[in-house]
Amino acid sequence: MATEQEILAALESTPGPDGRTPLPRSGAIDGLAVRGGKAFLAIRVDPARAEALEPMRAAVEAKIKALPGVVAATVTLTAESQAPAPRGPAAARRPRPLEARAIPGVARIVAVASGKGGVGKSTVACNLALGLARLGLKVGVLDADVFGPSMPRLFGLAEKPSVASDGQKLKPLEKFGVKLMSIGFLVEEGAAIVWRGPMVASALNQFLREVDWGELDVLVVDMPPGTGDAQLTMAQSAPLSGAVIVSTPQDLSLIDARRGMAMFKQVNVPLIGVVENMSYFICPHCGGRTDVFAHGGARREAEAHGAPFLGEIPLDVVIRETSDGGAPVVVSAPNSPQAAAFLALAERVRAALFADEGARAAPRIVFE
Amino acid sequence: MASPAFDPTPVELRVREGGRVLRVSYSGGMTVDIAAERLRAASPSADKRRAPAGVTIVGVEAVGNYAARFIFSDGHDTGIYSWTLLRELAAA
Repeated sequence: MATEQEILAALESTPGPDGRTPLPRSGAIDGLAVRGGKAFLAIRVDPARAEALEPMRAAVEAKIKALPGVVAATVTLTAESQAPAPRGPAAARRPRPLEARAIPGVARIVAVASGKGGVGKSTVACNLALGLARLGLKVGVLDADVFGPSMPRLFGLAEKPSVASDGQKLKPLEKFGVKLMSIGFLVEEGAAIVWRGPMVASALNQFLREVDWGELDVLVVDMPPGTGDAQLTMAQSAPLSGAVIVSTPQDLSLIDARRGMAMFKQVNVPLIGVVENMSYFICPHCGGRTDVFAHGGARREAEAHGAPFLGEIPLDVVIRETSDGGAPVVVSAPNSPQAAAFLALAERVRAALFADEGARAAPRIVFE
Repeated sequence: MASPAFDPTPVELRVREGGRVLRVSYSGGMTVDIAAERLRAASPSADKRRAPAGVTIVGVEAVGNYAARFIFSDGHDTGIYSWTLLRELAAA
């Protein structure tokens, strides 16, 4: 089996990029490795000469391949990294401060997430946003659930957003005093979106930055369910002020909620807390209460992880009907006990958002 | 990972001496200087090319709430330095 030393020795008579100096002495070798008889060699060259140096590359590759004990050889040319990238010195020195990443006009961004689908995350996000609006805040909703956008249905909207007067940005729709943008406006309901993580993240950033949100106190982002690549990429690329995790009380859902908490912790997004949805069922006929999925699991889970518990939303036919009917309960039956549960949630989220002001400020960046 | 009680988020990132030194300040007054060359060598990027001597910091950019991306004079800009990693560099 050939070793790195043997390969270098065999190349002593092979000229390097300048056509004269033997390659091992030219200083252009960026890396050499032998793995199970396969040799990998990287030669650093001026990118402008890459094409002209192709014969040298081929010659080196042939030379290595001919060595006894070499099964295969891969020689690559890598671009010289000495010269600074093509940004002028002035541009390069201009610091890009943290503030530049914030969304102009949008004061706070709250992610509503869940470890798994089917826990009523979007219904909670929708009614939370409407609850925050009722508390007098200027609120927007960004439906970023690329796998199952449901805000258009929850808000009872079928029209498409239009391009703003400046011809640059998309104008969000408006209903119940809340601005709304959804990936669902741009694709047919029922059409599957099969996107990789980076595509999802770039779509999210476009929706954050290329939508004319105006002045908002809070933007509620309905995240795709789960803790996969797409969700992690979104959580780390958007300037989130905090995250709300939605879970149902049964163990299976709580395991995933735990993953959700861990994900946000990993990317340093403060956890506003956990809300238990479908917490209990009040029978509309007899008024008796049934703990369908057992009860209190989310509270225990939140406490075990040092996260605040944000409250319980009942499993209720009124919430289901108003949600599917495009008239969310917080606006269609504002004085109902169901709406009260969401308003209590909105109050806790508002308190957390405003209490935390400045406490987790991003570091200042200073160039001397 | 740092213990949950400790927040490794710096208060300030100060690029000094024409980009040769990064001064990281934490709440509570701790301040640590990290040489740009050392920072560059510690890049967590898979795409780290050989760094020339005398490499300097030419730009700093935030990544979410949890990290910063440094742009170095050799064009290397793919290393994402989490606050935890920076804290480890500062402590070492």
